[in-house]
Amino acid sequence: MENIFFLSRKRACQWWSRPDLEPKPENMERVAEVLRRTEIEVYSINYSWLVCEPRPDGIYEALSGKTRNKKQEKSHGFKTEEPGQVLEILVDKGILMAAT
Amino acid sequence: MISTKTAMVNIQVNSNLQASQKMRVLIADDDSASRQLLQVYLGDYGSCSTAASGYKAIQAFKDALNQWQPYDLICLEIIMSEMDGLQVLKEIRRIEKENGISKFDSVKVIITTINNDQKDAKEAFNAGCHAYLIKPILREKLLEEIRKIGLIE
Repeated sequence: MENIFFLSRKRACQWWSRPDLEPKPENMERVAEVLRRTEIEVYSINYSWLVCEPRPDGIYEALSGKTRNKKQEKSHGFKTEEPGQVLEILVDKGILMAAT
Repeated sequence: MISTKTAMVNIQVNSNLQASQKMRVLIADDDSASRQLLQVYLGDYGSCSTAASGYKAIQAFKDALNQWQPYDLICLEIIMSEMDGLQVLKEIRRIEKENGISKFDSVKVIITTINNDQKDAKEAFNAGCHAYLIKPILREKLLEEIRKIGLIE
C-alpha cells in the first residue's frame, strides 16, 4: 500500500503544534480538515486513524507549521518531498506568516 | 470532470463520516462466551467485530486495512487452537510494518487471556501488546486499560 498513508491519532497529536491551531485536535475529522486545507488528500476518516496521501513530510508541515529535519526524514519509508512545500500553501492562504 | 478514482474516494469519505465517531474493535477469542462478554462490555464504546480463531483475526485485520478502516483496538486471547494469540500479534505487527505503519502508530492490542504465564506475558509485551489482562475480565479493569492507552476518556 505505497500509495496511501495511515495517520494515527497518536502521531497526529504528536505533530499537532501549529501556533494558529487549538492545543489538541478534537477528533480525526478535525485533523482531516486541517490537512485538506493544505491540499493533502484525505481518503478515509476513522476513530483513531485517517488514510491519506503518502506525504509524511507534508503532513508534518501541515500540522506543525515547521519543516522536518534530516533525522526525521529518514525515520519513515515513504518518499520525502521538497521541504517547505506545504508551508508555502499555508503562507499563500494567509494561514501562516511568511517568516514562520 | 470528476475521475472515477475521485468519485470513489468521495463516496468512501462520505460513508465514513458517521463511522469515524465510533471506535472499531476486533475481539479475537475461540471461546464464544468470552467474545460475547467483551462485546457487551465494549458495545457502548464502539463497533465490535469478532474472530473465532487466530487465522480469522488476521484476515479481519488485513481486510480492515484494505478497506481503509483499520481497527482502533484488538482484544486478543493467547490460548487458541491452530494459531495462538502471540503468533497473531506478531503477524499483525509484521503486516503493519509491511504497510508503513510504525511501532509508534501500531494498533492498540489488549491481551485478554486465561494464560497467566509470566514468560508469555513478557513475550506479548515484547511483541507489542499494550496491556495484559487475565480472565475473568472485569469491565472496569478493561475500560481502565483502554483509558490508559488513550482510546477513551
